[in-house]
Amino acid sequence: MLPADVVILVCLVYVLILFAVAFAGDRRARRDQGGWLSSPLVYTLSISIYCTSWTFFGAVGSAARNGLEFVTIYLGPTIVFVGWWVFLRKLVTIGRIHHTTSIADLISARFGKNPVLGALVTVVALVATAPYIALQLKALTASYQVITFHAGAVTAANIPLSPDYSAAFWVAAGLCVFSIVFGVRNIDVNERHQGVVAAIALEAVVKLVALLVVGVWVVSSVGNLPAGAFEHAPVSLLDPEDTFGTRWVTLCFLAGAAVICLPRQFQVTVVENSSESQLRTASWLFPAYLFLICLFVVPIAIAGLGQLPAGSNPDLFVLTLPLSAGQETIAMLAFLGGFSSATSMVIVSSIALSTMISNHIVMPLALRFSLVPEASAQMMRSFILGARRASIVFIILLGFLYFRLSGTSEALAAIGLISFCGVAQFLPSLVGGLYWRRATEGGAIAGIAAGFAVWLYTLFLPSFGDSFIMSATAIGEGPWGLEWLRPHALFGLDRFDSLLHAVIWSMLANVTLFVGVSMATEPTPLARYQSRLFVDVFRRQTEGEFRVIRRIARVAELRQIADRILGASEALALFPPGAVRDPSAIASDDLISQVEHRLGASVGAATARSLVSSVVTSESISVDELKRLADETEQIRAYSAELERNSRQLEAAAAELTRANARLREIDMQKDDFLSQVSHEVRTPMTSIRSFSDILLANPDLPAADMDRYLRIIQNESLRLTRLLDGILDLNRMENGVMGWDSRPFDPEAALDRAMESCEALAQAARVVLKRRRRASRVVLDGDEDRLAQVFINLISNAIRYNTSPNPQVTVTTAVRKGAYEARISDNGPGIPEGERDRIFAKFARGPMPRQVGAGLGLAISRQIVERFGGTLDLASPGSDGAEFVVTIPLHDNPPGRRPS
Amino acid sequence: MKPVERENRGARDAAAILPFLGVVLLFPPVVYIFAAPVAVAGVPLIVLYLFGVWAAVILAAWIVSLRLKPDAEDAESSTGSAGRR
Repeated sequence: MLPADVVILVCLVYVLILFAVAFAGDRRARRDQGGWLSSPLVYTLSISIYCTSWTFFGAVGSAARNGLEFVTIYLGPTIVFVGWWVFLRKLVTIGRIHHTTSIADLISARFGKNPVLGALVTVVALVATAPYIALQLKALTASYQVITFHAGAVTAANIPLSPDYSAAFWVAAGLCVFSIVFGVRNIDVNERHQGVVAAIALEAVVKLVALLVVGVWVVSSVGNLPAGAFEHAPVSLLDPEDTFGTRWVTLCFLAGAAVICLPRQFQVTVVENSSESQLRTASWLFPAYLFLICLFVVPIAIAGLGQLPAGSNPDLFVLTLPLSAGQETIAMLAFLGGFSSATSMVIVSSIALSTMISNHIVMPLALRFSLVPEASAQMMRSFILGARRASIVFIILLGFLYFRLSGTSEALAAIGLISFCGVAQFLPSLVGGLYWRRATEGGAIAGIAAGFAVWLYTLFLPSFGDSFIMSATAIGEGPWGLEWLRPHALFGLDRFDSLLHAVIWSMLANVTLFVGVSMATEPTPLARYQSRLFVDVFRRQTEGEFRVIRRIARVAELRQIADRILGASEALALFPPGAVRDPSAIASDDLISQVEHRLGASVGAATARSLVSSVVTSESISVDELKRLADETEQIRAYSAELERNSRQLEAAAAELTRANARLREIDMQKDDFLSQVSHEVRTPMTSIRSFSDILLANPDLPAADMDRYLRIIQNESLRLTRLLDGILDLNRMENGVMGWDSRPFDPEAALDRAMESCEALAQAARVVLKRRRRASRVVLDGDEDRLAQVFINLISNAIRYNTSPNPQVTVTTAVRKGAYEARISDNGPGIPEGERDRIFAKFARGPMPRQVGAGLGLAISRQIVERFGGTLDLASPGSDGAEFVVTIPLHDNPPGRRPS
Repeated sequence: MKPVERENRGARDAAAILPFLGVVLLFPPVVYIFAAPVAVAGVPLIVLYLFGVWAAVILAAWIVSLRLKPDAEDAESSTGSAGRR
């Protein structure tokens, strides 16, 4: 045994060292934010508060009782951390970006900053943590009693010692003081407590070293390694097939869930995190720490079972083994290790839970019932700090109460697993909230509440034995004798032990209600907005997202709130200079969000929202905008549609360019053709003029008749040449739109009559019969009458010239059809072959058998003229025989009776 | 740039696969294969197996975290811009 005063003295010195480290850590953090305190190593060591006294003492006890089963408690977290890329990274990033203060804050923030949800999570966490804190108190007092027992440790471990509640009380009181001094000194951004983290890291080193020292001492004392260490192994180790059943899987799952959901783990892993590199290192270093902790557990358990008298408490082997061998220094170190693991757990748990209680229960209630002191900023802050200090005392007291009520029977591991199962109820909402957009606050509340209720009934309340609420008969045979309500065999499911049974039923109820209610309800607009921020945390947020919420508030009132919570100096930095002086100034959406964000980092998102809402006079959330933003597939679809549209536009532009290019080439070719044709047309008459004038000049004494004939030919050719050039000029002027155009209303019938008269002589000479059929009446066109007559003359004379029929005739018909004047000039000649139909309107195109050679420009000019009238000149579709030209000109707008003169 | 990118992508895939590999190796039915009452050099096979797999998984996680390290900032910005329009 060790003298009690020595043990107490060593503990006090150790605690003083912790105080010093925490103090130095706080000071250092204030001077230098990115110092070694935020190094990945310290971060990892702080996470190892996962290894509490349950691990330190309980792992060996569990190994002695159930063999390798104890490993599950460390394999679950190993898998979670090794798989950080899958889940933990997202969780930690969200916590860092949104300045989450606790797991209750994260869950409530995700589901629309719902205050009810925050309070529910807090209550569940509080109730679930109580057994865990009780476990630490129990381990501390038991180890203290054993190490100081007057008759020696071996005897102490062998008889059922009744717990020393007074020692437990003083330990609890000491823990309260430490937690309050270092955990609740200020209301800080992110709730980071670097002093505490430094002390926790030191304690993590102490407990690892202590367990390793005990382990190495045990192993080295047996000899014949490695086989010697396993010589007296219990049957459950040698024949381990029973270990790996449902219980193995369930325990791994529970431990994995707990390392995320336990409030203290959330605190050190998510809230205290400051960079991704910390997590990246922890992803392998924390599992390595767990591995080292477990390395000697089996040898210690085997040695304890073999060397200590049968019936010794295996939960204390770590302590009793060195004591029984008289190794008091090692025993003292082991005691300090247990002390470290218990105190660090209680300190961080109480800090984390006190933040949750003050942010999610005290503050909302105080705001609702106007209990918050409005008088000054100082009072407000001390109110919050006071609430947190009171919460810490309350939490530790609750643990003490559980310890007092549940008595002594339970093994350490069993108590810890009750807590694990309780906090695992957060897992569905947490995972669902981070990956499933449709998860609603209703689903989360229903799921957590149902899981919590089942857990309370099947595991928590029965854990007291018959000393609290439930009687022994109610536990054994069901309340009111209802057998299907037995807490350990709900609905007759009695195949599993009580823990597995509780896990199965609570998770079943939790997940079913979470998914079912989420699918049946619609999230509030704010929840939809938050789900977008959380689920898509790795996607860069676009500008539009901050425009979704529109609020109106006065700057001065916002400033008041910020002053009260944050203190004047910090609040001042939030507001743009000069903005506060104007009492009626309206704050921008950005400023309101910024203030709420900053408040949220101190008092939690839900409280911050209700604080800000108290001064916001109008708030609107654009649901359509949200839906548009939230729907990723919709975004992708819109994006690809836009791309498609762009490429279609490009395609159209390219096609347009190709067409324009082809048109240009065509025009270029036409010009070349035109030039060569003009040269050709000019050349023929010029050749004959030249050759006849040569003859005349060379033979001045030609007979008069010949001379006269030659001169006549020269004159004819000259005339033809002139006509040709006139035509070309005409066409050119027409194409360029500079031709004289005498525009006035006229009757086209008159023009047609004039044209027929002009062609009368030509028709008689060719023995062609000119017929005039239907006439249009009272038609008025606007334009140059002479030009239209020219078109008719050209068409009629063509019809006469190219008519080779034995009884040639030309028919002219006019009518008004579909609001257009239509003149048809048809003949019974050979018609125009299919291939020529387009070509005849080209320049210099002539019919196949001309009676009198023309310039070949007539139809081209005619078409230009008709187009100038806004009409068309076309060949009618081939009927029986002969050709039929159609002139269509839209009618003048004015009615005939009111035409302007 | 390309080989580095590919290596990083491989490390990310490995980081995502590793936990599932751990689950397969440490959970039934695979674990039953080694749950026989056999001792290797005096140490029960199952103890060797569990701690061996555990150590191997930690080692793999360490290697993966080193691979993810050098261009972690790149990776972050690329996941950021992937979703950006």
